[in-house]
Amino acid sequence: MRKILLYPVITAFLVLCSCRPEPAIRIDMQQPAPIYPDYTDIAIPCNIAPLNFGVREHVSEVQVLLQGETTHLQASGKNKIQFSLKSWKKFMQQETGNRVAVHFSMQQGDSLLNYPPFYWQIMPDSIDSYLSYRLIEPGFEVWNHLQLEERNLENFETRLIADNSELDRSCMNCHIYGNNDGSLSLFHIRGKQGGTVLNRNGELRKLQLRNEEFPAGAVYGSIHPSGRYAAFSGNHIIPEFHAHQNKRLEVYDEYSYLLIAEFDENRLASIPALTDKSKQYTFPAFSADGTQLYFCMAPALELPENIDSLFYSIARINFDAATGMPQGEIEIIWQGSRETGSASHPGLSPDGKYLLFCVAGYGTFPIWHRETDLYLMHLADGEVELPAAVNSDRSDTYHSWSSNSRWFVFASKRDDGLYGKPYFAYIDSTGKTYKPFVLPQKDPEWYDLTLKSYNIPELAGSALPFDRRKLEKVYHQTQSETFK
Amino acid sequence: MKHSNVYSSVNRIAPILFALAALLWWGLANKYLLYYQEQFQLFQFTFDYLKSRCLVPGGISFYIADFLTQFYYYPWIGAAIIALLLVIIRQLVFRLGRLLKADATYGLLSFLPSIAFWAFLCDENALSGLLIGTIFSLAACCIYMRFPGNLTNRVICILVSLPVLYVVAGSVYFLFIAWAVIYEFREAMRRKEVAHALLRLGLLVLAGILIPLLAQLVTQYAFAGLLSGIGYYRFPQLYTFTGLAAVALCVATPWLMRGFSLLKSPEKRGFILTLTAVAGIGFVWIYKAADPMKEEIMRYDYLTKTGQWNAVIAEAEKKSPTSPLSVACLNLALAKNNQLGDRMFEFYQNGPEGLIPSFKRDFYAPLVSNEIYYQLGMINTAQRFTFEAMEAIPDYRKSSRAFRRLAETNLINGQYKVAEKYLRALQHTLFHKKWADTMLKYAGNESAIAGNPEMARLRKSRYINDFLYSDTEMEDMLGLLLAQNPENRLAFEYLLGYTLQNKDLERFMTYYPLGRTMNYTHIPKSYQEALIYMWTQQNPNFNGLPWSISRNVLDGVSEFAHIYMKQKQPEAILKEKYGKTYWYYLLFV
Repeated sequence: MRKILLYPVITAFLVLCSCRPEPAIRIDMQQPAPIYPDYTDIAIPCNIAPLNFGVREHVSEVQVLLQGETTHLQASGKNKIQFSLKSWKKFMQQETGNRVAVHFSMQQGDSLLNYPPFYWQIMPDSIDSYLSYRLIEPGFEVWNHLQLEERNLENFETRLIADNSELDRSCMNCHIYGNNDGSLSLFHIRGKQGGTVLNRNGELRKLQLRNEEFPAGAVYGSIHPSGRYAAFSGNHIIPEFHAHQNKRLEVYDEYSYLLIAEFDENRLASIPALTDKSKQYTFPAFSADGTQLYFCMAPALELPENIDSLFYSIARINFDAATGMPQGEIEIIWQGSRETGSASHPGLSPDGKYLLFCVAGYGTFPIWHRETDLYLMHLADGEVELPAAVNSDRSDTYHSWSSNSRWFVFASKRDDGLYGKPYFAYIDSTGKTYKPFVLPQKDPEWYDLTLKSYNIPELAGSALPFDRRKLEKVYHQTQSETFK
Repeated sequence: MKHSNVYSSVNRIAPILFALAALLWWGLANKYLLYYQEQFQLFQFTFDYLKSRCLVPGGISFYIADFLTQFYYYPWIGAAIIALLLVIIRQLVFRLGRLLKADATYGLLSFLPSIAFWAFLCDENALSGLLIGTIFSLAACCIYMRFPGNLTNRVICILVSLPVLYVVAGSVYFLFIAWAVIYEFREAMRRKEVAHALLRLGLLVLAGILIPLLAQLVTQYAFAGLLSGIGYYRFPQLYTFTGLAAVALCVATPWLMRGFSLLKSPEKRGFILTLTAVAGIGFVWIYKAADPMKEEIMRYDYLTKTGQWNAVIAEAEKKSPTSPLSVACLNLALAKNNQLGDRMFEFYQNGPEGLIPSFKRDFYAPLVSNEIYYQLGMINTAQRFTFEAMEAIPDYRKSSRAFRRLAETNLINGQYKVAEKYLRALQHTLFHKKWADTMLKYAGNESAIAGNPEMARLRKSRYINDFLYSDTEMEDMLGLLLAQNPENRLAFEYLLGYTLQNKDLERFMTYYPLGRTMNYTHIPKSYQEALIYMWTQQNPNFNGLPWSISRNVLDGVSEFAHIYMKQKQPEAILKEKYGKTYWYYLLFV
């Protein structure tokens, strides 16, 4: 009998709890929704993780309605919208190729504030599912905790692939892929037991890419599509600090050169045109077909006195995969100058159509140059454009293409000028670029709380076939392979 | 009253006296160590913080320790917390002794672990997570001892306690394992079951190692770290003798109490001997553990960071500081009170490093030095030193003090979004929230910043033009700072102080005229001494002296020169009378 009475009471309680008080006033706002991150009016890939967002205002509730052409999705929260992964996936599947209106409102006191809708264009072109990056605090000279992480872009799963706390706290450089493929990648670990870790099909090798001929070792690199070679710049890097309020760090090379590492016979080699002491060479990048090597080049100046007159151009040279050596003449395809700026980080799209690169006012360390923007070169005619939709008034730098050449990721400091985050931008078949969006996080407040910068974001179609345990074993238990 | 009642009363009163002693020690004598500890963490009331701390074996202890450490912001509360933790440990150790049927006569021995922990905490890198973990482990030992005659219950207790304790207390759970090993071994041996004793011993040790091995699968730490412990000391996986001894004493002391109880010596003699031994060990151990030199730096640093310039000078007047960092704090206080030129050489000076310390790859020294750069208006350098100091904290923790300074430097530099990031994190704290709320109002509010005297002054004092800063050319950096802001009197005093400390009088003479526009009412004493020294190098008398030099200085230099020229070993004589002059520094330091 008691139970019979209890059930209606519980039901009534639940019903009462689930009822929300109706707001006394409904206000249609004119200004855009005050959400963070800025996910307004963007193009997104059909396979991206839920775009959770929040508001910083003191509100009692936020609500969102994603109105698609065939279906809709609703969500609400205290001051954050966190979509269910399952509902999101279903919604995205049904609305792929469609434009979705995002109706956002929030309850503040007795008022329900309705904001004008913004739109998400769900692109049928998917983005590579995996992103790797280095997590580092944007310091000056001292580093402490560095991690390389792999993120699944289709959900919120992350996986540590290296943590320097277990690697003698050695400095670790960023991780790069070959062919956007998880089974071909490399990165450097410094320190006494360090070396370049090469991953080919999950087999990890520790390489000593340094010898008497190439004392500065290997720094910035690019893997040849064959996986047999990689091009590196050897840079003797000098950091300096700015005194002025808006600038932080300047890094330049005392000397630099380019070299080719061959991984089957363990050879390092170069040609005189790429080791000329009267020039500086850096940021090598193979074309997608592996027949050309792009890089940045500048005359060697007295530094740091002439740092503001240091302008890197973009050059290329043919590469013979049979001999594993660059051949022929160097061709300058973009001239650095006081008028045009200084180039860095050339990145070729896998379809061979575009060259994306950074341009700063001067120098070779664009990450700390607020004025750095991404430029897009159409390789067919050499035309260069500044994609305004993509760039910001803060540094927009290192980038990596998705396998289908429709998406690229880049590191941007646009939100606060200090902490770099991965932003994704779409480029359509006509070469038009769209407003980028930041890597979505399960908790949208994540970027407020984290003190890490995302360095060198790199896209890959498949997951890395190793984990940090395997890496630690290689680091601690194997000798570095020497190179002739 | 029977003797046993007397000892019971002593065992009840002694913890209160012990707590009082600890309270006074930490609240009065060592309070700057508490400030020091508080600044190297940033306890936030967020789920992310809880998660990040608790994902480590022992994380719950570390989280509780962090929570308690934030109260060190008020040293008396911090002292009370430490006193309480020490007394809890003592009570648990005493309880274990009594469970072993130890006599109350030897109850004072139970203070030994707490004394060891007291000494451990005198190390500036010791973290109270070890104390919390130890309390959990001792509590588990007490629970385990509730089943003296029931092996099954004890086994259940061990099986449940081991994983739970490892999660809660971390590798200090070996305390519990050690206790159980000794107890089980003894129990088996009492029944003359040697094989059984060895089996129990082996199984317990195996279980103790197995759990960290399993933890390796779910945490990011290597086995060595998981076995030895991670969050008990600021340098992960590093142990001090005192820390290890404190934990070992927790196991050994109850058995020691029991051992003494079995002796047939008279109660009174045993009690007096125990009292003498514990008091003697406690005094010597704690006295040896305290480091007055470090305490001096922490004291000067705290007074400097809180802008108590008069208090810094008063400390120096009592006893001149000797460490470079303390001297640097004193010089800043003198400069802030417009006394640097007058009084710099009244105190011990150790050269330019004591005026404006260069960068060191450390988590504390740059934090102290940043105060000088900040006050001078070298905001980017202050920011760099602060950032690098925080980055160098060995256990990857964040620093509330660094967050505050980074917020300030970014506000001054107009980097409001970055400042907001630090301030928002501080809003999640207990004692920095109010400050963060206030400072957030400055973000993006130019007129509010202009109305804040300190921020407005520092904005005006900064470099105007950009150049690449050089740590090794400090004189040029100070010169540029002054050249770009001719009203920056602090920069002028540091520039002149730098040349004086560097014994570069030619450069001093070059820069000296820049002070004409600084509204000095008189020529500061050390400048007078330098000027007159230079004059006497080129002129036979004071005729035509272009500066207004005081009679005392004129007489002084004559006498100084006379003693210097006439005496065979003038240093001792001159130190007596002229040890606080620039001349003495110039010629003898």
